[in-house]
Amino acid sequence: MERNPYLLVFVAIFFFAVGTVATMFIPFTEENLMTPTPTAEYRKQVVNDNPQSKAAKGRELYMQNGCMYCHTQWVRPTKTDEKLGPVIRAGDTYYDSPHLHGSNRTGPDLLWVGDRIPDKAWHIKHLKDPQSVVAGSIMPPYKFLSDEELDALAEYLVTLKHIDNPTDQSDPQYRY
Amino acid sequence: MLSSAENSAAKNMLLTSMIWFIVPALFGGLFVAIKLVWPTFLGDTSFLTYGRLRMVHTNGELLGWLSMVQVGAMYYMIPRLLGTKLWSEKLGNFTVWMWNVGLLVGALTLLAGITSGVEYAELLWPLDLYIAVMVILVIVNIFMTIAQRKEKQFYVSVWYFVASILWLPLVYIIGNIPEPFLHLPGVHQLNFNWFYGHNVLGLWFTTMGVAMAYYLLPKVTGLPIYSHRLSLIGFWTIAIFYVWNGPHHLSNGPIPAWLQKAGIAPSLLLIIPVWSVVANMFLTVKGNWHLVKENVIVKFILTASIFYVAACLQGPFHSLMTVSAVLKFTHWTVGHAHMAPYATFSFIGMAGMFYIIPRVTGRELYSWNLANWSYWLGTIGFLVMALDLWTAGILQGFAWADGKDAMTVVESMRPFMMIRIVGGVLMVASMLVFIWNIMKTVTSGKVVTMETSKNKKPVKLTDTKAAKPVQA
Ligand code: HEC
Repeated sequence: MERNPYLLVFVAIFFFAVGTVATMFIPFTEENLMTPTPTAEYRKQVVNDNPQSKAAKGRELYMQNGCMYCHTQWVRPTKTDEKLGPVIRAGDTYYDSPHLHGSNRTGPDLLWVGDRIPDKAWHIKHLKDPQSVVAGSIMPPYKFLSDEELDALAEYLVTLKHIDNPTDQSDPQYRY
Repeated sequence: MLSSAENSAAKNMLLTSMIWFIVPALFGGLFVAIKLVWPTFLGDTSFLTYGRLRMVHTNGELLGWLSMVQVGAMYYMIPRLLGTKLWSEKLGNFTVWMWNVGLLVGALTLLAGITSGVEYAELLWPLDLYIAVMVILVIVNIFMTIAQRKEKQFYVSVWYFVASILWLPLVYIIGNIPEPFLHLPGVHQLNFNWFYGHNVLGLWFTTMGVAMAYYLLPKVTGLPIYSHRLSLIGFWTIAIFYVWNGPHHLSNGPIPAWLQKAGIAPSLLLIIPVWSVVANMFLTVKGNWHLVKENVIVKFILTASIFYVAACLQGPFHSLMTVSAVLKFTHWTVGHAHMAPYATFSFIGMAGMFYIIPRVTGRELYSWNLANWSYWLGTIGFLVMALDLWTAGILQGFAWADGKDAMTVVESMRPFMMIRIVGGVLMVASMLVFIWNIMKTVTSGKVVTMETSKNKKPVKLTDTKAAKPVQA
């Protein structure tokens, strides 16, 4: 192999493929990950099925302005997340395209922010000038958004809510 | 327009990479850090807001600076390791243009808010396609160079380079599957996202950087690599285990327990390749520690190795579910995320340029003293930022677990966000000194006479007179 590039390439790609199949493709056989929850169906109804809706436009704005770099949409079964509402289920974001789970919580988690703050007017005021609503906030002001855009973004935020799932079984393995 | 002069592709790639070192660091890094203390800094123009600048920061530093410096170094090193010339300098220079134009368009689209919305893979799919083509052109050039090689035996750097340029398109394509065309259900998409985020680091930046270090260290010290076998153990363990790690970014997420474990166990095994690389570096220099003092390049590489170990000990540590439960989503992660790309691979990148630029321009480095300044400013700046962010993250995580109100936690972070700026200023200063030094080398460094370069005598490598001459 120290002289043969083709063998090297072949073996390296083989091991790459093994890991990829195991961690990326085998999970598709997990029923849990492939079953949308009522929350997902609700999100689909307000966003995916209706790409011209305010909520769908708001979601676009959320991505375009990088809200997900400061806000997660990911409540874990951990002590840190106990006050944030129901733990996320795999199916909750089934239709999210793309996912907005985020990776940093400089600001609060927004997975269920619509349940916590259902008031659109509050959101619009807060987005325009966060510091005037929450003293000491370090969230950027989004004054440059038009009234229509702010309305759309606020609409999206209030649709981020939990819909009861009667068939939900909390997976004991999942709570460690 | 496209030069066919020997070494021109390497030279142009390396020199233009510096634009993508400083611009995203200043605007996307430092200014964004300032915004976390003073949110209205830079006003509220759409393209100067936090989210937009942050996208330019990650894409610019990773797909720009780091990728370019590593490919530039590969254009220089591969021909030398194989006793031949680069197959096509013209094609190489074409990729230099493609890289810069593509990134410029990419940066402008991101600033305008045109994004796929997937963290680290924000560029829109036409740009992804463009990048895939560009990488394929790099691959063609390298494989044609291999085909015309004189030296039949592959040195370990060649292994790493060859494997990396093949992993990159695989990782890139799988990680950037355009969501509008192929919808992956929520969690799977999250999994694909972190497959990309993790493997682009491990099977591209890491392996390219390690290839550079394995080339540079013996060259500048004149000492043979301690163990060839150890370097191959390192290669194969990273090739086998790295790709499994994506799911550890989903720790405590809505994924099955087996998948979490499938992500965590290999992260622990990654200690093997890390250890093998770092042990090899240190054992090579062992007994010649004076080189660290005398030679900035050695200093950069060994420091990078230390940070590499640290990053790779931290990684498995906070992939453990209980640890992740506290540290995930905090500032800790930001500190960790800078360690490998900045303190390890950017350091190796700078070291590589200090070595290569004088050799491709035929001029001595303008100032080894300034190179030393780059080193200290960068190291201290990084340590200030990282130690600050790690402390901040631990406090943040435990404050949440304590049930503290979100805004109370935000306010308590303020002093840490200020110290972070200090670290950022030092890091940016280090980059400015570095760029100044390289620019001065290119424009007015002392010309090395033909004689010395024909003799393959290295351009003066050390920053003090006392240093022993070293073998090239
Ligand atoms: C620099 C990081 C940052 C960015 C970017 C950011 N936010 Fe925030 N956000 C915060 C912080 C910090 C808070 C907590 C203080 C406050 O309420 O203003 C917050 C609070 C919020 C809240 C109130 C949540 C609650 O439970 O009180 C909402 C809603 C919100 N942000 C939405 C957004 C949206 C929408 C965007 C994108 C347009 C965005 N944020 C971008 C940092 C950020």
